[in-house]
Amino acid sequence: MDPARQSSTERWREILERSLDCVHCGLCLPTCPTYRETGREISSPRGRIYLLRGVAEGRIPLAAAVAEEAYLCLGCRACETACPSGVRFGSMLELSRAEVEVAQLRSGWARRLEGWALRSLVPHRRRLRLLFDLLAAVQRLRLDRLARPLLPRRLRELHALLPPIPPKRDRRPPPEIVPARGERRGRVGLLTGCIAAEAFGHVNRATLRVLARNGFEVVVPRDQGCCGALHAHGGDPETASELARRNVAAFGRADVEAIVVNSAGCGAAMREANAWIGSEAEAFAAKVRDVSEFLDAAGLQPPGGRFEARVCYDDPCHLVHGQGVAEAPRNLLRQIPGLKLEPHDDPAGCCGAAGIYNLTHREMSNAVLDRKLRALAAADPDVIATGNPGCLMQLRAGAARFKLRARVVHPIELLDAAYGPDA
Amino acid sequence: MIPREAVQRIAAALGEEAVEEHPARELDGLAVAATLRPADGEAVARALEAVGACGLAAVVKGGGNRLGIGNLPNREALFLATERLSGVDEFEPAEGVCHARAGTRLAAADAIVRPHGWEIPFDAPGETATVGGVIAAAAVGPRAHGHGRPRDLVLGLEVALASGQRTHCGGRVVKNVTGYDLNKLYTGSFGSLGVIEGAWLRLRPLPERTAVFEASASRLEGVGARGLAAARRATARAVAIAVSVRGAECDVRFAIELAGDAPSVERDAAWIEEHCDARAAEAGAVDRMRALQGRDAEAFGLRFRIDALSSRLEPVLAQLCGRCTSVLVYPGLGLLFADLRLDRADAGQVDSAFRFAARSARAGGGSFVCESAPAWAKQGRDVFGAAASALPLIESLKQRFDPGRILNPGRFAGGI
Amino acid sequence: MSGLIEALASVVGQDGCLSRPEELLVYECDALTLHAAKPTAVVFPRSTDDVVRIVEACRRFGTPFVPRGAGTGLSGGATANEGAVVVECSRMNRILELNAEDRYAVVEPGVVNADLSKAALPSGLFYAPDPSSQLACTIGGNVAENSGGPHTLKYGATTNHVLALELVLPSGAVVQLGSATGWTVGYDWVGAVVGSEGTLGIVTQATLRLEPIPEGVETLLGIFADVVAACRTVSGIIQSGLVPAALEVIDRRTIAAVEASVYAAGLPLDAGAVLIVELDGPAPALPAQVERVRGIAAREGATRVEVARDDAERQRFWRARKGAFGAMGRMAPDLYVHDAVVPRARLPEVIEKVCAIGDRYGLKLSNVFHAGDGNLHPNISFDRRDSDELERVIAAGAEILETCVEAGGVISGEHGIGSEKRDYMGLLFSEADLDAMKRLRTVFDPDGVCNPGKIFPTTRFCVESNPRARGYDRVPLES
Repeated sequence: MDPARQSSTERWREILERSLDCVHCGLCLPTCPTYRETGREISSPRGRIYLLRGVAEGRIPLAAAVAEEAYLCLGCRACETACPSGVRFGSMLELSRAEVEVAQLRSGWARRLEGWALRSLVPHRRRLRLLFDLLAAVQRLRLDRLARPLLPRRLRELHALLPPIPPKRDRRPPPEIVPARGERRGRVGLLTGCIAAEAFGHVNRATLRVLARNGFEVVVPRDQGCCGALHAHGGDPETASELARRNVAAFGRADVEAIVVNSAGCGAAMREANAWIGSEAEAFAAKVRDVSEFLDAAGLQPPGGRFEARVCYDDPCHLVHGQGVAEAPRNLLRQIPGLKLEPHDDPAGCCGAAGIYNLTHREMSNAVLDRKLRALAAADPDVIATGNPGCLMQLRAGAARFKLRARVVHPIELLDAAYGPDA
Repeated sequence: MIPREAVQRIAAALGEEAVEEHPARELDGLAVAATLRPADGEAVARALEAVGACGLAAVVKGGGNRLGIGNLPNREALFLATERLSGVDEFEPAEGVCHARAGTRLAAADAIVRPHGWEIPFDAPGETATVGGVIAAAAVGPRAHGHGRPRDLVLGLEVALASGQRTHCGGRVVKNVTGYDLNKLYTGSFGSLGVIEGAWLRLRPLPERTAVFEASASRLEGVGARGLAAARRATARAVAIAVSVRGAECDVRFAIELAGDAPSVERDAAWIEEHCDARAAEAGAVDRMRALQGRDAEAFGLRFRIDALSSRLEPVLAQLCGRCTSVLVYPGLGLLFADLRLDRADAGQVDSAFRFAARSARAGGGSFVCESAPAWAKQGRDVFGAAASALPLIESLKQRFDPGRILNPGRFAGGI
Repeated sequence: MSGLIEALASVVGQDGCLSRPEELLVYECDALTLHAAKPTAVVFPRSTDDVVRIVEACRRFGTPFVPRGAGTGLSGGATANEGAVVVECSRMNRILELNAEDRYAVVEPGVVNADLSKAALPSGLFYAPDPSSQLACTIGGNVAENSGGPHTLKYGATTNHVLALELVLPSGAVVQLGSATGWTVGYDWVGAVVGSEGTLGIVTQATLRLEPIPEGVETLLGIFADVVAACRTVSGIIQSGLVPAALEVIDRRTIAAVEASVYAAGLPLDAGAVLIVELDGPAPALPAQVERVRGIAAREGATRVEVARDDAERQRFWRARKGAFGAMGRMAPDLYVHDAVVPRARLPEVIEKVCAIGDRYGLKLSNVFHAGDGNLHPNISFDRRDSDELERVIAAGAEILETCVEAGGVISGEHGIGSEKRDYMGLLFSEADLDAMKRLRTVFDPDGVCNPGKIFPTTRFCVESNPRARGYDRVPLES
């Protein structure tokens, strides 16, 4: 059932149904970032499910505490990986957030800014581009550094997260079709993303090069857009569905075998698009693959060059928990001559980015991030690799704060480097 | 002297044959002039009721090997002997458990289970040692390293309380969390809480192969480390080190017993021969060492049992050898038995010896018990050392289990 | 009541004291959802001193308290009866010392079981008790429940690995019990406190024995036509003198549930039972032991015995065992995990009776069990909203326990009595037996304020079902 069209009653009925999958064993607790930080049952998946069941059964009202927990959750879905009885908490969370929005239980600047950004900015490519033009100019003129002391605390923190915005020429959209190199192995589409297209254009270009090197013709549909994940996570199923439909149409026309995504968050959302908008998205959802999973399954063309570095791979939550992809990126990295994959203590824990969580829940986000950074600091790699734009930004900011020497990159950039410059 | 009417009253409750009046036998300065020999658990309960009603007390006696461990009795008492509570009454080879009555001698119980491939995993010294006595004293020998300690081997107990109530705890199964684990409390309680009538024991399978080694040394350096290394071999069942001190000289003897499957024992044997400079020995080598643990201290001697962390065995041993005549070490268990000789009956010397034992125990991160001492030397002292913050608990537990103070009176830790 | 909450907040801060109704709702049960009771407040101490002050505050206001770890217990041991304050130890989660040479660790109660083994790994050591919830459950809870696990067979349960404890008594006094050397002078208080289900005080520190990681491990999977043959093999192995690390049996119904779930391990659906045998120890011992187990299994009619060739295959063998819980959980909204022990030689007949009970009550019942210990775990999938089914679940549970006791067994092997089984204690213990336990209780908790309503039976039930235990009301404890 399309959550956007569900009534409140229907949503609560669905929440109740899903809560019944939970046998209350507690195996999810240690995997939950907010439980690890607080030790509070109510801030654990099991507690949140119990709470939601309590509301669904009318034992407690949909009160402030429920709303707080609905948004304190990072939505990392580590609990889903841990759950023996198959509770799908991610979707329960989205339903409950939609209900919190309906009940208008959230307020404050964050709610207003978020609402504006998600509805009026992110879905609109041109507006985003304008914003990034402006930010790039500000950064080039170093106005940001001058202004930094004058900014309110929240904006200062936001600023710390902001990566260097590439110059305009690097933010040009890639060609609509990139031909395969060598023996042609297939035709795939690439999701370039919304913010990622502006801030991580180089990752998109690296992805295109690596796919081409591996014999894939890549289509980059012009009329694609934001995947809607942030909206779904933020309790706005209407916009999420609308955006998902746009991409279903765009990629449907492109006639591709697979839709390759290099952003774990987008990939996880797109794979579940049929749950939002129903059967019309089934074929689309079935084609979505994370770039690492896709290349690993296809069989990677061995890179010719070397990349000498000790690399820690860090799992994006929405790849390892959301899509169940853990080995593929590691397999790819292991095939790079010279690269040494180093384990670290907390690879599958959330980094605290979680969409815009690092803005709305600064303290918790930092606590969650610190745990990961302590693990990374102990491993002391040359490079940290992770395949999601939010995580890249968060880990970069964190690495700078912890004064780690490691660079933080997308795994595809390492592959791209190992293939060497285009001949 | 026990009043005539008390004896008659007890005899009436138990039957004449269960009461023996005899010439006084000394127990830590107390003359004990009668022994009760109840024939079954019901009789144990009746005996306790009668003893209590007569205003007397009882000291439970199994094989009599560890009666010397305890403080001075603080009231008139009779012996309550478990010897008629004898026999293995249930044994299921497919389960590896048996039920033995308290007065069953270890050797007798072992003879029953051994033909079926099992052994009674108790290893306390003393030919007359009984199942009940070993449990009540939590007595160990060197093989506790391989077998485990009584606390880990007792599955269930039947216990007659001072009130005459008969109770049981635990059960016959090998895994059990049904209610409080009172087994642990009775094990090592030296008969101060109740009288053990019988016990369910976890048995150990007989090893396919055993191998025994001896080694010697004339210097203390490295002895602890060598013993510990041997004890940490996978098949090591017992390691004992006897040190005799003669002035600056000392004579060190090792006995090492391996037990397990043949290939592993053979591998460990080769290792022991190479690294411990040991040679094969006859089967009784460990038992001879164990006999040293069981022997009474000399007339003017004290024996302390000290427990220490493995890493501190060596310094504690060195410290003890500075003052003791002989020390027996079970390195895998972290136990040292140290003999001290007194020149004469002098309380000052005893004070000093207790302080020395306490210091050594502290250095080892453990505690001490004075397991053997002449009665005069126990005067005014707690042979169990100080049980520190748990003393109020000890007092309180005793009060609840034996408010009339009729069981092993005054002799347990804290003088209860 | 707000006075108490203020007092608690003054100890642990606002952030460390929960009292809103929504927050309390989620603490109304542990992993046994059938028994629920809402606490007055939930507090998060960070130190022994905090615990002392919490206990003192509770005493001042006459409110009982209950320690809680991760809430993974299956007997309602952490349920806050009588409006107790939950003392949640999850923030006391430091490993204070890890002494590789002397092979022990000193930990706070909130340390997660698996984290300790992980921390000990570089030293070549591990913490042996491995309850199925070991990724989540905490040492404090393990100590309270004397938790076991598959490897209890060889290594023993929690009680065999606790060397010393720091305990805050219900009076607020702090006592140190036991010693890192493993030897105690006086009573074995550590032995008495382990498994006392949080009724004797709050453990604030535990010193635990670590074991050397075994040199080698071999895992076998035996396929049997029926559960009786699997159990006979277990008896044969025990009788042969082998001490495997684990002996686990999965019955036909569980195989069907597992193979229909995401945990499918490729087990043959027509098998009556599978037996997992794990052998560990010195490497030279293992080949011969593997052959002996094969021989015994063949003699008892195994249709096939596989030996794991590598770690991946070992994981596959265990997947079915470990996934059983989840697989059963997917069959219905609720899952009742029973726990009882029988003499291991009586397993075959008892299993048959247990299945017959499930059938008679029309329940979805299956068995996975620690066969080497005789520790049964009949799992019943049900829906608690169906009151008729719920009644049948309870009635069947009672019959299962009676059956086990008749066979010479006991009513809990590793989950504890808690709220769940206190009214069945009379099946096993006489008035005098329970009285002895109460004497111990009153030494520590004379007023019955620490985790009330656990272990000891209530009068009502005893009178109805077991005249032997008449008169055992919970209060007053002090006689």
